[in-house]
Amino acid sequence: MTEKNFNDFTDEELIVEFQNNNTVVAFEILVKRYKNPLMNYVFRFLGDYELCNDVVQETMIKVYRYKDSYRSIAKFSTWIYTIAGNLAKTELQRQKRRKMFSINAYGKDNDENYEIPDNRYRPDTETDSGIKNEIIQKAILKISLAYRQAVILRDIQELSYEEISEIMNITVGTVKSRINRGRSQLQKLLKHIYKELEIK
Amino acid sequence: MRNFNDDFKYNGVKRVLQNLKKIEAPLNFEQKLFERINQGEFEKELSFIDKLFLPSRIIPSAGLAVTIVLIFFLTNIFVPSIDENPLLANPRVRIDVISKNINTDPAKVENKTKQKTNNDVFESTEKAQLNLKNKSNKKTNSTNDPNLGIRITGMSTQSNTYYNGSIPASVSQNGTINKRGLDYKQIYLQRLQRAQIEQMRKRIEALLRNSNR
Repeated sequence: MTEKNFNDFTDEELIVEFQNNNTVVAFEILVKRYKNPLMNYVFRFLGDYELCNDVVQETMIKVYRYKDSYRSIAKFSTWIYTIAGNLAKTELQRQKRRKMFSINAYGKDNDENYEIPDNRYRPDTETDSGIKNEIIQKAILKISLAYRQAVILRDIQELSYEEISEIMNITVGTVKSRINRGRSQLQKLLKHIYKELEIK
Repeated sequence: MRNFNDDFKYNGVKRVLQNLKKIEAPLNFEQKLFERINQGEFEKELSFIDKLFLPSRIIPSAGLAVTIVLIFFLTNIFVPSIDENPLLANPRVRIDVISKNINTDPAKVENKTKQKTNNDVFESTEKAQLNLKNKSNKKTNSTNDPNLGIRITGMSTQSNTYYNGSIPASVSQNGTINKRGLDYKQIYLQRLQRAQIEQMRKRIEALLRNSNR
């Protein structure tokens, strides 16, 4: 069987092929299909390109390593989004701990000079088109975690309510509620540039 | 009822989010990924025993163990040992002076003690008399009372020894009992025994008074 044939396979067929026959080509196709959507999802979640790259790589490694834990009853997309979401949350918690540690450590050695990083010139911000994108990204990061995940999955990744419900392991009603609350918070945060953005 | 599907209210926000530039993976994403997979750089699953010996678990438990040991030693250092203090230690039991007949029943003990005391006193008196006859021809103004079985040695010029069971007692010339060279055992007397001894003491005093007259 050639790679050309595998390209016509659905995600579920590919993962089953990888499970049963350990076909690396099937895994490679899955990586190609999901690397960009996952990068987009995790970047909006974390707001850091390097971290996002690490998380998505880790997600792919988990899929490779724990391929047998996938069950055919679920959609592959919900499974891989769940893994990426969990890893992103773990990374956020790590970041919080690091921030607390660095705040505590700051000031102990007064002789040391600290350089404050300027994110404006980082490659992750360069990929975004302009300052407005940056403002929107900052606003997304300001809304609470549960609402943020729901809004990103719905409005950026354009997944269905049912898929989001499976990924977040909550009911469809709760998903809708969270999405609306998240949007409401975003609207308040972006009210200064909202009109300008709408005009454009 | 609020219609969640009606996204019209937030159409602006939706549009803004959908128009955000899509983030793409770096060009070397797959290359790096397969390098990591081939090198086996991913996290290894720790076994239960490995998890037990993680620094995050072993450090608190070791600290707790050290604290317990320290508390144990500190509390034991300041408590005086009873065994080391000779004043608080129990007296050493001497087998050669332990009475052979031990009866735990108080009533029997009292009866036996009563009989035994009388018998012992008579025996000891007879022995003492014989000794006196054999050893000394000197006249003494001591008083002998065979019924009582007690030899009063207040006026005697020589020291006499009375045998009461296994307890030899040394009596001086003036009638006082000293503990020099005395092989004795401290015994706890019953109330009846004490009363008997008190009674005997009074009778001896009475006899002494009569003899002085």
